[in-house]
Amino acid sequence: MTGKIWTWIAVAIVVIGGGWWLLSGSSAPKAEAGPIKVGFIGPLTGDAASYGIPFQNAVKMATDEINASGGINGRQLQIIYEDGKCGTAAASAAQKLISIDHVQIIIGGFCSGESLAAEPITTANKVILFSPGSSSPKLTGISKYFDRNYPSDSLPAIKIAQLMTQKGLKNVGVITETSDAAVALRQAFVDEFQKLGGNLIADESFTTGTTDFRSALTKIKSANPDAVYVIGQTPASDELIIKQMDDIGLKTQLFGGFELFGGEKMLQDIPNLLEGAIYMEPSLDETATTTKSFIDKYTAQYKTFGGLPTIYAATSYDAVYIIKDMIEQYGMNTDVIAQGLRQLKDWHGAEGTLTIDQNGDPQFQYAVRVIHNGKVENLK
Amino acid sequence: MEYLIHIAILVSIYSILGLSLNLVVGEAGLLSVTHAAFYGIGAYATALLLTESGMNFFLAMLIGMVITGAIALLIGAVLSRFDGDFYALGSLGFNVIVFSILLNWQSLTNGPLGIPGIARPSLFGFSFESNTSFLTLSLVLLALVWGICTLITRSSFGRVLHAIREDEQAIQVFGYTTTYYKLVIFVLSAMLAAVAGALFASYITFIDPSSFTVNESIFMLSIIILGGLASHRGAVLGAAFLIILPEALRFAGFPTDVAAQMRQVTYGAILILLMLYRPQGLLGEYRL
Repeated sequence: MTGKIWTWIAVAIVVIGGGWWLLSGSSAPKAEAGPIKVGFIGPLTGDAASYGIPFQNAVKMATDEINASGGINGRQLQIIYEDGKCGTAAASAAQKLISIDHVQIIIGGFCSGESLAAEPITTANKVILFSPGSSSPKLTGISKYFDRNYPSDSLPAIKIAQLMTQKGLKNVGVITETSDAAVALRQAFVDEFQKLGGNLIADESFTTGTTDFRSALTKIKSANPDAVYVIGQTPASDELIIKQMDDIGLKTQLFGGFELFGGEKMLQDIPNLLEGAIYMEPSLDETATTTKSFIDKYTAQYKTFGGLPTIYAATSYDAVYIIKDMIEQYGMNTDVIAQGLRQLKDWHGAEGTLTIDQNGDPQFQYAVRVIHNGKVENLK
Repeated sequence: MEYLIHIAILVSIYSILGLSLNLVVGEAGLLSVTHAAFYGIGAYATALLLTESGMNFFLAMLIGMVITGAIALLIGAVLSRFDGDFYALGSLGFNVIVFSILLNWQSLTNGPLGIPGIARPSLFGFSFESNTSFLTLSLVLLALVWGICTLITRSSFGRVLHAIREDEQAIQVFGYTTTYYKLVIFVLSAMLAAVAGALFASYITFIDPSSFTVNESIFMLSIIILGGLASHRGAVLGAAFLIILPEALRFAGFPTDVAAQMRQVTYGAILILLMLYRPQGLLGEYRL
């Protein structure tokens, strides 16, 4: 029996020790020759993999393009992909990328939970963490080594609150999905709306996967709101909510939480119910040359963006090019790159024109959209 | 090296969880699928006390343990009336409830956004900021938990638990109120899980409800079933094995495109093989 224990302990020691020795021994840190290593953390397995895989694809596409055209300063770019599982597993991934692969820049995390878990480790090691997908307002200015090219959720929510006040919609009901992005959006909205003197007369929430919203909607209806703000994380739940609002006869001005609100499927399924609905989205001009060539090339290679809205694929793709520009301009000193990222101004890429502010958040142009006759139009 | 220390810290946290869960599952033979709930309550209680009131970590951890114990007492009072499959299902239900509360009581727990910026512990001016010192702290707490578990299993109380595991009705005939024993061990085990929760929260410095799902409870069960039920060394070995294996698989040399997915598949395959050839676990004395 004791013999067995020692065998197992020996196996464990050989496995970690061997793995560590092999990888740390062979790769000399901060080598000036050989490929430039950049880390990647995203939800490659689990429920959020439908975002993580297209994220990985977009990053891979940009990397291949860069390497085909001569790399960065003549060196090839090598991305090391690690799984963050949309949560605290990102801490292990970040630790591995930093101490084994000696990366100085990590693209990720994608989920806000990944970025929040990895950030203490990357900051302690002066490693740049650049996220193309985390939208939690808690990440704003969290560290000088953290930046993102996807905007914080608080931005569109504040604008919607201002728009409602302008339109004289005083009594508003909100229905929110309990996911990180939706909850953050609701919080930012409520704070701004109440500051502007609005009344939140109904405040309902539902967990991901709910299909029957009638009791929550009936409560909202009985409060007799001027407008309803629907904050679902996915178009699927938004569509169900709007259909059921019609079932129970709740007719009022509709506002949508995310850019997915005017998704094609919804517009095809329920154009009448969406008439007059208002939502905001980062203004991605899909006809701009860089954006169009990215979308065409991506769809030719990988067919579909999966569950990922196009804007996220564009920010993921751009992240690699931003990192490339930073290394070319400032070398591998992360302190200098960290400063350089916050001076990024009118950078042009697939997501459009990007400027990063002093808190590491991008200045994004938002467009207010309204649905009219089954088509998306800009609100005048 | 930092990476190895990181893994060692995770192993000690999960060893504490394994040891404490073993008290209920291994010693008393109650299939509890709710350990992640107590781990979560401990983590949230500590995190909230640290971020909201700036209290000392060790005090916060003790309060967290008391809160977790109190909640375990309430739920245990119900669960102790069950046995067998009903116990497993009832406890699973409790885990789901706790997860929903962590997710939905947003004014307290911040919901799905989680709690960032949790401080590392410090004691008498010494801060456990570096990973090496944090590892020392985790190992000390692991040793303490090990000591407590040994004390419990060697006592006459522990022998009654064994008897409940082997034949509950027989021990009832001798006049033991088994419900009481089941309740006490359940509460003790929950309080020890809160220690692991406190360590996890201040180590990662960020928690959100997704770390405390039913899946996590099942992972903890796997630790002790793989390591061997009712064996302290088994619990630690199981934790080490299940934490190190997926990390070691990062170096298995899979093509980068499918590395993450292959890791999951290989991990699953190894677990199946182990259960096939060693169903009593690596060091187990008792089978479910």
